[in-house]
Amino acid sequence: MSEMPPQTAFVEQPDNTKLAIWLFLGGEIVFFATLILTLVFTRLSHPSEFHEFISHLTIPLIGVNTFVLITSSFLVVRGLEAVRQGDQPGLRNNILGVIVLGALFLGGQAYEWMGLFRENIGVKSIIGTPFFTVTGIHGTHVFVGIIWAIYILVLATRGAFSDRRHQGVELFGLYWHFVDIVWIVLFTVIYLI
Amino acid sequence: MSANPSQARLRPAFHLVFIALAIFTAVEVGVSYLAPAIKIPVLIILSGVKAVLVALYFMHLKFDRRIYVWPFLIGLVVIIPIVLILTVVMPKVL
Repeated sequence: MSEMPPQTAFVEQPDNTKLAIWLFLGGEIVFFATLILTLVFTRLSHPSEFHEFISHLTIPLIGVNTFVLITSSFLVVRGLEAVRQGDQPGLRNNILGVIVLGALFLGGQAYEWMGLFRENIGVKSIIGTPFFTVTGIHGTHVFVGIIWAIYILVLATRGAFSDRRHQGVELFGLYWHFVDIVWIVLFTVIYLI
Repeated sequence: MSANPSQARLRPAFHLVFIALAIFTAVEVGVSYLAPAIKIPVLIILSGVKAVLVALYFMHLKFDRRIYVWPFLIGLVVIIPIVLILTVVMPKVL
């Protein structure tokens, strides 16, 4: 008679879906690190052009935009905490807040880009190329996150989540927080230093 | 993954982390107007602390299984050259 060894029977396996999201985010780190390195090297090789470029950026505005994104991350945490305690309206309200703040962040970025375009700072300039690439790809990630949040909101409205079943919210949260971390780094590297 | 007392205890920590992130962001904007020799190391430390706070608390890495940390750490190794360039090379160039 063959029996499973006790140590095998009681080994707790990691959640594969969650592990997959973490692996995806690990790849995203490499992706964004490469983009940021390109921007840093371009800056180092063209310091005067970068200083001229940075003079067109409005740091307080982007500081507010950064605060908006951090607040949206906090709302995701609140939403997850709410659903873990069976608070369905709490989940819906916080996810709705994430959607609004995400859209506000993109609006702020669009406002910044329009200002740069008005001052004839285009995508083809030596600093403009890496700047618009990095911030544009990050903005695309925010946009994808907003679509994901809308999907989560629709599911939440249909009662798909509960105190025992909320992995969808948790996985979305991991993605959204990662996008927040990337912006924290970009805000420092591009705007502040 | 049902609600339990340990999760309920985390709530104040989340609020404190959010307040810290907001304060650090405001400090960063203020520090950005200082000389490069001062602002670069301060900004690197502040943004690093902010990123770690989000990862540890908002992404639950502090409380979750250790296996989820590894993909993140492997990716972070790539960031080391960026930090070195920003902290070592850039202050000499600017």
